[in-house]
This record gives sequence, structure tokens and C-alpha cells, in this order.
Amino acid sequence: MDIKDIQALIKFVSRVGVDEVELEKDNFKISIKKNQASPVTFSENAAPIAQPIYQAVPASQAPSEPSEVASAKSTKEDNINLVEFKSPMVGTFYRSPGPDKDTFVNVGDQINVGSILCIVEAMKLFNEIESDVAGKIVKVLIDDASPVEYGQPLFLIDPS
Amino acid sequence: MYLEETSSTNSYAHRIIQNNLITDGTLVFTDFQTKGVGQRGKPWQSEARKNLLGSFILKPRFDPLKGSFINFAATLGIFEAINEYFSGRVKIKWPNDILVDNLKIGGILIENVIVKEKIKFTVVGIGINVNQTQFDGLENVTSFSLLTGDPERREDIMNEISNKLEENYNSLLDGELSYLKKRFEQNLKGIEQNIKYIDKKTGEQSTGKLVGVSDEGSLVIENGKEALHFTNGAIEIVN
Repeated sequence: MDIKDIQALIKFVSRVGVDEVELEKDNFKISIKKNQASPVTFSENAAPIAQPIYQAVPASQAPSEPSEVASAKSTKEDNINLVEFKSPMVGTFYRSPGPDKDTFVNVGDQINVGSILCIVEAMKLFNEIESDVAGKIVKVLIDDASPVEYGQPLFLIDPS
Repeated sequence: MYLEETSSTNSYAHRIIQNNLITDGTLVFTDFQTKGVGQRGKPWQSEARKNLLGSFILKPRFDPLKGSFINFAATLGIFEAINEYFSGRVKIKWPNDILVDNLKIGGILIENVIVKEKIKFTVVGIGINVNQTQFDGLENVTSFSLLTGDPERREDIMNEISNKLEENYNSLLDGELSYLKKRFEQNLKGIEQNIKYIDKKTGEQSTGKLVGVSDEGSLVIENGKEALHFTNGAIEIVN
């Protein structure tokens, strides 16, 4: 299956109006899922391939390579291009410097390398966590003042 | 680096670090903080020109998972400096308050900035009550002059703290981790004694023997059957 086949498949999926398709063939598996949060709409003049579906097939991936099976599988997630920003330690996650203070970042904020994203407190050591990527905050995965584990994803960041 | 007045020495420290003007061990101190903060933004009030307010900027390039050893080193530095004045009467209240005669004389606020799983720098903010004698609305606090009856020279105490902090910081950089932990434990209030504590989750009160701290900084209490580890948010110690 090459990139043209995948494009044809995506066109097919968007035309028939199903929400999710999984296809397994030889040493290759692909799943295409519509973004439920922003439903695809069609009109006479709309491009045949709706934007959310592009996420399913990032240009950087060569689906014909067998080693790409795993990442092709993960296209079930909507966040394929997004970076998971993980906690560097066990502790308590705080979104602001203090209870009455503004949050460091919100969904939709543009962040730079070096922007402070949150505090993880462990044993009264207040650890301000800086971003090592630039991009946009897509999702905050943890509630304020909740416990976090080492390596637990805290934010989804769109690095583009 | 001396400032007559600033919003808070920790905030000032963060700002000058961003401008890369800083060498390891820089001290910022001030006579007056207009927006002094304790933990989680709690206000830290201090009368002008009476107390010691300062922030040490360190660049330990440390693994954040060993962050509690920064606390052991910083707390020990301040403990030892104050112990020079009130030998035998000073204790560490876990995790990082300094008590003299069971009254709080100083607080520490440690802020690390972490990038890519490394500590980029650490700001150790300290507030030591020196010549303030009125503490409205605060209980169980004291100051140098309340304890001695005389005003104390703040520069002398600051020099003592700088020296002791540097010694302990060097131990940290030299990797003398168990040495730091052992001395932290030896000077902990309630060590080797039975203490009463409330489990904040269940609300239950229990008694156990305080035996030390873990490498992660948790308090370790033996209840006769096993050693239990508690993080600072998990329990409240009843005197």
C-alpha cells in the first residue's frame, strides 16, 4: 500500500461518512478516525479531503516501511503530531505560582523554549518546569493541585 | 548584591538569571520586600531593615529526582549558622523550617527551574527573623533579639549563613549525599521519638517512631510493624 492508496482510502472514508476505519493487510495496519471534537462538514466547494483527517497520515511517515507499522497504528489517536510534555518528577502539579495567581499557560497559548509551564512541588521544593519545545498548548492533561507521577504526560503541545 | 527594597529576592533572582548575569553562589539580599512570598504564594511579612531576607542562586546541574538533597544541604546550612548562636537549642522541623526552643525563627523557600529533566538553577530564598520583636497574628515564632534581648548585627548572621551554606553546598556537589542526609536526620525535631500524626487522607491519628527521612525526602515513621513513608502533604504532625 503506498501513499496514493492511503489518500484514496481517506477520500473513500470521508465520502461514505463513517467515523472510523481500520484496515489490516499483510504486514501493515492503518486506522483512520475522524476528529470528533470538530466534525467534518461537507459542501459543494469543500476540498474532498477534510482537514482533520490529514492528521491521520503525516507526510513525514512512509507507510510502506514495515517499521512504520507501530506508528501507523497510533494514528488512532488524534494527537499524532503533538508532543506530550511529561513530568520530570513525582509531586503535586500546580498550574499557577499561587492560589490566586494567573495560570502559567492556557489552552491556545503560544509558548517558547524556556516558557514556564507549571510547578511540580515535591517535599516543599517548588520546581518550575520550563518547556524545551516551542508551539501551542493544545490540552492540559492534569487538574491543578493533583498528584503526578514521574513521566506522566502533563500537556499536549503542537510544535508546528 | 544588595537591594534596598525589592518585590521579593526570589523574583529578583529569577529575573537576573534569565539575563544570564549570574555565577553559581550569587547572593541577593534586601532590607525590605514589598511582595515577600513563602510557599505557594503565601505572603511572608517582614518589617523593613530588621530581618534577613535573601536568595542564594545555585547552579547544581542536578538530577531533579535527587532534589531533596538540595533541601537537606540548604536547610543544614541555615541550621548550622543559627546553631552557632543558640547551640543545642536549634532543630529542623521537617521538611525545612528552623526552630529555636521549638519556635520558628526562619523559613526557607527553595525554587528549582527544571528543563529537560535537569535542574538548571536553584534559588534558595531565606527569611530569618533577627530584630523584629512584634509578630501580629503569628504564633510560635521568635527572633534573634527576642531570644537574646539585644539587637543582633544582620551582616554577621548573613556571613555565617553564607559560609555554612557554601560548606554544605560543596558537600552536595562532591556527592556526599548520605553524609548530608545523616546530619539532616540527626537534627530533626522528634528524631528517634514517638510522634503523633494525623493521616490527612483518612483523618486518623496514629503514633509511631520517627526514624528519619528517605532519599526522596519523605518522613519515615515506624509503627511497630513496618516503616511508613509520608510526603509532606500526606500527614500533619501533632506535637
